[in-house]
Amino acid sequence: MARPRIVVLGGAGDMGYRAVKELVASKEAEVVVADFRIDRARKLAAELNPPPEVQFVDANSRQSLLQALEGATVAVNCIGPFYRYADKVLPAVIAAGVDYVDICDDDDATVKLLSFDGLARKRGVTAVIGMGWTPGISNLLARRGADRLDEVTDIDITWVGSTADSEGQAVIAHVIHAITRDVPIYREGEWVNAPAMSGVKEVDFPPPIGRVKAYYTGHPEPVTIPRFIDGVQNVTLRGYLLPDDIQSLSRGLVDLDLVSTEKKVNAMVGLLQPMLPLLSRMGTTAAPAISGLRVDVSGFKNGQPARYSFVTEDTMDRLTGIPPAVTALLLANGEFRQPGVVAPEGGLPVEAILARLAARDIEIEEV
Amino acid sequence: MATSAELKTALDDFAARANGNAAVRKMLKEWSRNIHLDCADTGETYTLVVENGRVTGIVPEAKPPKDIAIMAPTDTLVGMFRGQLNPMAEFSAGRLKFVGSAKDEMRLDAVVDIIWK
Repeated sequence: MARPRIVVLGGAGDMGYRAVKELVASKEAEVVVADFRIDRARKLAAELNPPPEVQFVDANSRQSLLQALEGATVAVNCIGPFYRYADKVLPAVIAAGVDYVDICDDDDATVKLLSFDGLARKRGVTAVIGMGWTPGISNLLARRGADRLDEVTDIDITWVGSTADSEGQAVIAHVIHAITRDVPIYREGEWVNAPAMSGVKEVDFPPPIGRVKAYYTGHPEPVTIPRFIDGVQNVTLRGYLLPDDIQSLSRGLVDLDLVSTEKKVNAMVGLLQPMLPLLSRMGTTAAPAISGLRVDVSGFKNGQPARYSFVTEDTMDRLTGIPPAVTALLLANGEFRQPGVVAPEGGLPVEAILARLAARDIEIEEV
Repeated sequence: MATSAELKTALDDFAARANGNAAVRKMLKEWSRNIHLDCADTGETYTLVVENGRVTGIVPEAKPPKDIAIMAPTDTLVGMFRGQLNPMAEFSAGRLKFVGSAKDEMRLDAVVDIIWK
């Protein structure tokens, strides 16, 4: 029987390449690195054994996307920032009749992706959205906590990212997008908008991150979790950047009107990327090169208030790149099938995926 | 001027602290590099061998491949690996040269900070 063919769109990026490495190492599929930066893709592919096939793809061209998807069993979409590209890629994947998983981390893009649910069902395509670190592992842990409760009321998610842990332009553009506008949260059973960087709350992580003063950021979890987890009343998503002093810089970018248009964002991304080593040293100590995630799920069990809290700390590329690879293999091998657009908490085999992540040394600590 | 023996002792101590630190292990998963330390004053070279986040060897020669190179006087290298000197400050002052990716530079910088914090 022919092996499944998995095409990683944006496979030469920081996160996409980690997914490619995982898929190649699994030996369970034929892997294709599809990227706009073809020379970089060729160079990275040559470092792997066996080297995956390389293809050019332009996310702005439906024809180019369809060409890259020819013969594919599953598409893994890692082309960011997602608020620019996600709603161009998914319709092409559905038209090609290919199952799909992405690491979309923008709330506004997620709303657009969910609108393709009917089309995906009609074509029999399973499209798993937001299957990275946050969203992704965060949603799986929200589901794990909710399943342990009789009634779930609150889900609070906090991520911590470090300037020392990622250097991709898409990540910088995403962070700017997430902290510079009103962002969705789910409060008392309704979606409301709150200013990004408001709602400050102290949240504890194990060393080396420690306690952070996290704030609301734009992310998909408050958009999807109330749709898929019944009864939840409040869903918040907070984020925090390391080192601590980078918060002042972020607020300054907003206050000085330096990131209010896409043109300004592009210019700022180009300026900030080469400065990351310097920025990681703002303040008195170097930012730890690590990312963190905490999920607190509260509600009632046996008539008593109860709460489950989960934490993980690892490098951003592992946390973000391994989950979509694991999920792509589930889809490719027919272990999961649910036509439509689905978030990780909406029907995926949560414990099976978390077990596969644990086997790859992604540790979830219960605190 | 620091001696070769002092540098070797500083590197052994650094390796033991790094390998015993849970936070460093989280940060360096899958990180494998040969770090060449070139003593600008004596001409000696040591290689710090890191495999999957653990220092597995300190060899008194330039072991290929050269993933990262740090060039500085022996005193500076000893001070840096003992946590007495800030690598970024030494770099800015022109007393230390770093050849490698920005990502590796930030990772090493953070490791030194965590170990000696």
